[in-house]
Amino acid sequence: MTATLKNDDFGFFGEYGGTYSPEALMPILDELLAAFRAAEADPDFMQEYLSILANWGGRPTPLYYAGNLSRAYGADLYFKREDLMHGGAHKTNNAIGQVLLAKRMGKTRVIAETGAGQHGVATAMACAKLSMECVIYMGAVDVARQAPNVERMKLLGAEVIAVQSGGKTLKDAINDALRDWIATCETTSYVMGTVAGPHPFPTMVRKFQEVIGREARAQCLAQIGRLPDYALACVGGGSNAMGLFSGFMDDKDVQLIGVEPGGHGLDTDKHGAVLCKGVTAVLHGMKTLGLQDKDGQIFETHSISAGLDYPLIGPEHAYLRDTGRASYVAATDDEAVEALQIFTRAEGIIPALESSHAISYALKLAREQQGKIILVNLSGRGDKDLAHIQAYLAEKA
Amino acid sequence: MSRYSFITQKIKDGSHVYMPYVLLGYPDLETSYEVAKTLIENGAHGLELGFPFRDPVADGPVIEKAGNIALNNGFTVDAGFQLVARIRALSADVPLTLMLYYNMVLARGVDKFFADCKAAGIDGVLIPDMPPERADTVAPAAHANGIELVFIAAPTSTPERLQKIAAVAGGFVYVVTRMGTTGAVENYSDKLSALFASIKSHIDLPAIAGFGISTPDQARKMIGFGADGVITGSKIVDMTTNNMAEIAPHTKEMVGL
Ligand SMILES: Cc1ncc(COP(=O)(O)O)c(C=O)c1O
Repeated sequence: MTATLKNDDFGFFGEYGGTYSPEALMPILDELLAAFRAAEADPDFMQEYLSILANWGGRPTPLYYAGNLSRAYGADLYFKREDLMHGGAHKTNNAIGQVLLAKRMGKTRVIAETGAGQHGVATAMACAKLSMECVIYMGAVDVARQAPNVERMKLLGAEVIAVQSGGKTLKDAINDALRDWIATCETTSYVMGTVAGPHPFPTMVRKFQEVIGREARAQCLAQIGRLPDYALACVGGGSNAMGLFSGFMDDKDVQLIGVEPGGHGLDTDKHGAVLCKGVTAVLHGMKTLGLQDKDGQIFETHSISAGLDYPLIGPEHAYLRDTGRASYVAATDDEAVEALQIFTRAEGIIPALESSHAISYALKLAREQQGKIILVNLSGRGDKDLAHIQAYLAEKA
Repeated sequence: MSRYSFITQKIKDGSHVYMPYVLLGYPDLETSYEVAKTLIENGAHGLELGFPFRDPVADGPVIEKAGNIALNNGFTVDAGFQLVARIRALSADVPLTLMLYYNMVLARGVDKFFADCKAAGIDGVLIPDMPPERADTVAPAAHANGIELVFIAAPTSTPERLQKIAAVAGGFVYVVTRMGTTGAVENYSDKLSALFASIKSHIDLPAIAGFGISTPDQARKMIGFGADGVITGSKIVDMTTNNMAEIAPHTKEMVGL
């Protein structure tokens, strides 16, 4: 296995990425890296992964032309329907890949962090299907604002641990999941939900999400006869965006745009727009960008959407920003909720609050770029957010 | 000559060292100064000084909670370095090892950080989320300022990893004697004798046991397994919270092992 390991396989994207982890985790990260490299090179493994995604997960997901919105806004808006993926979000692509890998490595227990609960649900589903014990760490604030997903995880047989430290959101859930892993790594795999964390997670999660971009590119060519002018995705840790972007990375005429959570606005301290406002940081095992004070204490971020509420970012996005291959903008809480309402009524699809950030910017872009083709990753469906949106609108009224 | 030779010599002479951990700024700067003073006055052979961090993934709940209290009470890195200088003034010989997370080094600027360490009288720096693979990012600045880089070895560290550590480590090796984060849970694996033997065969530095040690009994066990000394961390935080008067007798007992 180690024979396939390249000496320079350190997981850097420019200066970002790498492995900044406690010594206790380093041997297990080496083991994971070797296992992942062997699995991705094994046609049987990749075949099993893809066939589960097809007959259990419902892939390929459609590319949908949003006719009503396109007519209203004057650009052609296409949506990659990850909301139709089993589980209701793109997270299933990754969870099934990593849980399969855990099984291949002989692990019996899986842990994961979750923000919106989508990755927790995806991991719990994958563990049920593949007969693995499953423990999900979730910030106590997120447990409250994403209650339906907590119930789904429990029904699927997972144990959900409400994390009480820090801001009680995604960052804190990752801290506690990492601690669990340090203590249990002999039997346990950590299934990271986004393209963050120490090497090999950013590379591995991207690999399992590349199916989005691969399908979307082929669908664009088949349905439109050309590639889009823009490819947009919301960015929390960055996995649905990396999945989509990967399909168009070499198509230099396709502009890649990530949409971050603008919270109450970028001029306030209540947002999570790491690529717009962050500085170099090291946490959660990687070098990346982060929102922090001058002493390097990481801030608690704010976003209406639990899945975007994270003060760091997958390192490859930091690299894409610096190199100019992708650009990053933000949509505020208000803009996301407004876009959610517009999209729902125009197209009869309730998007996740996370995805609504990308939709918001897509509508803005459509007005400015009449006649262009805009592809948006509709990363998840919004059923989980209903109670939260109602409360938000009631408070605004 | 490095102040670590003070502990190296003691170990050569056949005794063991006690190097407790003080979380600076907990619950406030003055109290943590008093704790450090008590430890030194009662014979601690060296101190680990921790700068609080909001996301201490290599530490357990006791230190995380205490760190948040320290930060809420206004701890800053500037104040931390001033406090270190005052602690240095208490003793010219005791080696002081600063423990903090990588992001705090990065945020201050690597060069400025190590210059500040030197000015404050720090002898070594332990960055628990910096594996030896990443040591090249700080080693030039550390060495330019005469600061040793201290590393952790774990029960899972393979011989290849111990060699990587040996190539960059100075001062002593902090041996994590159980998997899982700091805090006083008793959970020693039966492999500790082999662990210390393996570490000593690869790394020519004192092997000091830490994580989950709080009582003299546990310390004696570690010494029995081959440790050259012990560190207590969460235990000091506990005593700081609950009964400062315990710290002096605890230190005397640990120093005498
Ligand atoms: C529907 C949906 N979209 C996006 C995200 C953000 O994650 P990422 O940036 O990794 O795609 C989440 C996270 O929970 C999500 O549930």
